[in-house]
Amino acid sequence: MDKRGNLLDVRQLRVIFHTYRGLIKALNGVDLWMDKQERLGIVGETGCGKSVTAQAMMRLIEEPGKITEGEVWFENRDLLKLSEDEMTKIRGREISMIFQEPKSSLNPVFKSGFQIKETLLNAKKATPANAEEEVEKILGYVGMDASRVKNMYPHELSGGMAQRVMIAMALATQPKLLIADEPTSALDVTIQAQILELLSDLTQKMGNAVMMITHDMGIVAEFCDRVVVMYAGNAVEVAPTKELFQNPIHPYTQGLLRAVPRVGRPGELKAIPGTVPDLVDPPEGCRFHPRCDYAFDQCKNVLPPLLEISAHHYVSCYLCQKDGCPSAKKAGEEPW
Amino acid sequence: MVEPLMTITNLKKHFALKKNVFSKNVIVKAVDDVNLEIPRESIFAVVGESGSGKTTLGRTLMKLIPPTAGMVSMDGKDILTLDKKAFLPYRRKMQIVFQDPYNSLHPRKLVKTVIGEGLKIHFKGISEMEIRDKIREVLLQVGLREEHMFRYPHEFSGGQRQRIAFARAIVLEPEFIVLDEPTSALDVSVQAMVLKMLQEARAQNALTYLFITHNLSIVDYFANHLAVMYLGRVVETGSKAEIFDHPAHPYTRLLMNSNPIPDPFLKREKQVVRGEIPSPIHPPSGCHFHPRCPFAKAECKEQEPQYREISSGHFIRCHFPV
Ligand SMILES: Nc1ncnc2c1ncn2[C@@H]1O[C@H](COP(=O)(O)OP(=O)(O)OP(=O)(O)O)[C@@H](O)[C@H]1O
Ligand SMILES: Nc1ncnc2c1ncn2[C@@H]1O[C@H](COP(=O)(O)OP(=O)(O)OP(=O)(O)O)[C@@H](O)[C@H]1O
Ligand code: SF4
Ligand SMILES: [Mg+2]
Ligand SMILES: [Mg+2]
Repeated sequence: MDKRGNLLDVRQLRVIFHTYRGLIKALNGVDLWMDKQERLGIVGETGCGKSVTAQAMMRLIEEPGKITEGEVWFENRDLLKLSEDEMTKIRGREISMIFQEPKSSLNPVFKSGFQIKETLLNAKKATPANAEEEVEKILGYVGMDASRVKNMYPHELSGGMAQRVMIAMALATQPKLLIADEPTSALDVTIQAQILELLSDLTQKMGNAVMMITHDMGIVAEFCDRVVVMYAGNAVEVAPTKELFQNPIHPYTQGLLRAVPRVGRPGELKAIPGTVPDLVDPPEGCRFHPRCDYAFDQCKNVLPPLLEISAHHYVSCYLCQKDGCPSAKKAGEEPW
Repeated sequence: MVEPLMTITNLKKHFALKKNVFSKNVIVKAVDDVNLEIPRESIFAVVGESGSGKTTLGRTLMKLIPPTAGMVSMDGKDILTLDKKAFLPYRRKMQIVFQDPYNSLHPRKLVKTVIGEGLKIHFKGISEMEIRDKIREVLLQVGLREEHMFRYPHEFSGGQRQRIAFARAIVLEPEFIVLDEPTSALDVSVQAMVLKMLQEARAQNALTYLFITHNLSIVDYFANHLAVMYLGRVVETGSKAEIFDHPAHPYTRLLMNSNPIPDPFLKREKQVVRGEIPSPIHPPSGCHFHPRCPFAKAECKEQEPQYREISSGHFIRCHFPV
């Protein structure tokens, strides 16, 4: 089998949740892949499956959820086939995660220095003899006054400081992949800018790949090499960042970009008509078809496959197969 | 210049916090000596990071909480000193819409009750028929349908609830509405719809908005005046065009620079503001921004900068404007 990325290749990932309302078909065959040291953005609106994708890759889906299908190739192993012991070794060592609410991922009863130390010892990245020294070094890397911060409890940290501690812990084990799930959405913009700069510098120096989950197109534009756009449980468009902004093809991606306000470009904002579907009873075929201006019969029956329509640009839309993407730029018009 | 709708003069709102039974009260100067003129039929944005006092400013000038000092005049009257009876017409003229579309509407009241209850207070003797007509009219105006009045708020999506909250405000035919982060809980495509609806309603009803937000991109798209707050003080204000073209306060510039722009082709030097946002309980001396300011000199630490006009209608609080 050909791997599409030399670090990660997720194929046809499906996840469901059993709820009192019925079965939520949260992931409907997600495809995505990454190369080593790459920065991949995952964007899409609330509920489209960004976090569930990350959790499923890490095998952190719990009852009432279930992974029903798919492969998660991480280098040469399918993570979905590993034993729980083997998977535990991957989590936190080869793949680390940081989240939106850093404080809730820290243990409130231990000082931050102690928590970093435990992480290092567990991952065998330090010995009891040099652990203290390593902790200080790592806190220094994330721009903090180590002697003060290591003795602080999580509730004493500001949101930005807590996120730095999380980053310190996540990168301490030198993971090959860092998954950042909305790491700055709860922070103020000046602090967000600090955290993004820090993440950018450290991961570049250490050579970690980063999967950046966000709903902010600004962060995508400034941070990511490549982007996956998700809609209602599918990757609908995958492209290098510049290509995606310059030449968005999927009608949903186009709609999303037109809805984003941007400094220096006043004018109409256009909303996407309709609302996101209920995943208990999602539309057949392309899940976007009820909201799509271009939908035709074929869209309503079978999910369009994610196909490469030009170099490194993948789209899941029948228009591209029909007559060469008429949904793309109209002549003379700005793409979005 | 035309007479402003609202003039805010030396407005202060300080909160006394008791840390514990043994310690003295500490004071948080949530709104500290704010001076603004809000032009009639403008969209006046208030931006600033969390804790800068935006919500407190909105609530104080609505008289929802008592001010510590200062004046807010509307139609030439100081509304903060009016007694309850004299204030009643202003209670109708001034409305507020909150950020959280999930908590701001009573879950067990039908939409028609949510929207209609204010009408009975403010329009004495109004008939059920008239109430029904008004509710229908505002529902259509905010992009909902007549039959929605017989549903409960929880049956609606976030964007729809925000429309209901707005319908409840405009049904009273106000002149002034405080919009406290009305779209920050919404997805971008829903946000685009709500912003558009707000713009249309403003034009149709000759409304003035005080629009509180974190998001400078929305300000550029939506507002025509702007005040930037930092730790309780307005550090810069003026027309949106003037401030976006010539930001003079170092904080405003850094705030603009921190705002991620959705354009991968844009090349700009990112300048990151160093340091944490200081605690509002013990704000830095002099200019509150001095510990984080790249241009700070000794004077900034020692002396509080005066609020002054640097060009027509453009005010700033800084010793060394850029
Ligand atoms: N524990 C759970 N139980 C039931 N449904 C769930 C659970 N976790 C996720 N889901 C559902 O799966 C879908 C995808 O959720 P997910 O959290 O991945 O969205 P997201 O893209 O991360 O959204 P957001 O931007 O709001 O974080 C949603 O419809 C959600 O309701
Ligand atoms: N009722 C209160 N009692 C004591 N302190 C308060 C009260 N309300 C607000 N404060 C304090 O006043 C300051 C300003 O708060 P405010 O909510 O106005 O900020 P904001 O700019 O609206 O922030 P955000 O962007 O987070 O909504 C904060 O330090 C806050 O803790
Ligand atoms: S596949 Fe069809 S419905 Fe889906 S986005 Fe493309 S044109 Fe629209
Ligand atoms: Mg999520
Ligand atoms: Mg607020």
